[in-house]
Amino acid sequence: MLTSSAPIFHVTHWKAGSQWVHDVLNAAAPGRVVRPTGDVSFFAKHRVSDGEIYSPLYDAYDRFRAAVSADRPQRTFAVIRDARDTAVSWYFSLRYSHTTRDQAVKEPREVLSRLSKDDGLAMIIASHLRTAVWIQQTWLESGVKVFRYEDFRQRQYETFDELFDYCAIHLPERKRRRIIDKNSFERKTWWRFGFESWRSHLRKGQAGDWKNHFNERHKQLFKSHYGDILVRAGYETDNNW
Amino acid sequence: MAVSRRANFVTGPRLLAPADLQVLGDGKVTFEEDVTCGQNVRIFADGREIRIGARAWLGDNAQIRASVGANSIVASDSVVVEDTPANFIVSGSPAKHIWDIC
Repeated sequence: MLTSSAPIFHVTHWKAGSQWVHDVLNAAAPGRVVRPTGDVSFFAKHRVSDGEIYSPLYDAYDRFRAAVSADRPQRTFAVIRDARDTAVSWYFSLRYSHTTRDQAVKEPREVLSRLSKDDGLAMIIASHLRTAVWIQQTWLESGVKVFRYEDFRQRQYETFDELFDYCAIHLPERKRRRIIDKNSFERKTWWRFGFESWRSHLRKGQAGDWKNHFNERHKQLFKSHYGDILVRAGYETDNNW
Repeated sequence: MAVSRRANFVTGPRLLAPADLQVLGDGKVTFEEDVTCGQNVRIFADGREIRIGARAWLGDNAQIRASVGANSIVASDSVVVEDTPANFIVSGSPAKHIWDIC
């Protein structure tokens, strides 16, 4: 039976607002949020417990199911983002904003610094984006509740309300609003002051920003690697974008 | 696109290249599917066969004097003089491997 204390799993891919959603959940359910170390290998050492919220988990559906049985009462939701915007966001994060203490950032940053922006974005499309699209695809096919990052950006109150309801996090209306406002994307970024910082981790987060950075060659490269993922994810109606 | 009259030039589907792509020399040049070329790319096929693999990305002003593997990226202004395996990023003159696409 699904009770309000059932564990909650926030699964996603990189660059889909995971820090933001994590912060909102943490404010809405203080003391319950556990931050896994990335993928589901976290659960090899951490027993899933009622009441806990695991946010975020970057992994594919099959791997998640191998670690967390579907028989266990749970609330699992996935957050996805337009893979084109994911690529652009990833490029700027790796090129400028993420800390270089992490080797997974240091090496690609060194490579990106030697490439033009067009070539660098091609590198992200051909390499880093592969895993993100694979993760996204598995969750789209899983039947699990899927939220879109763009909805959080464009209709934040309604979408977070839907998330709270789905997760059975019951809070008075005013408290919900306060949490959402306090953790709003605008509050966490500098660009609301009219200054777009490429070095800010959260950057613009704007839906459709890919149009400012993709040329025809990027479009073709994306389509040749990922086919109709955008149609399947509901971001396009056909492949003629 | 300018193709040497002596070159044996074969393209797969969806080659995306600007009008200034040049294919020079007398060798065979084969583009597999979904290759994209930047501005002012030149392919030199003097006495040899050059194959550009599927989904390869040739950056602006690249000079290609050897084959490029599928999914590989040749950085802008690079000169490829040795065959490049699939899933490599190469840069420089002569172009050297700088990253594995995995």
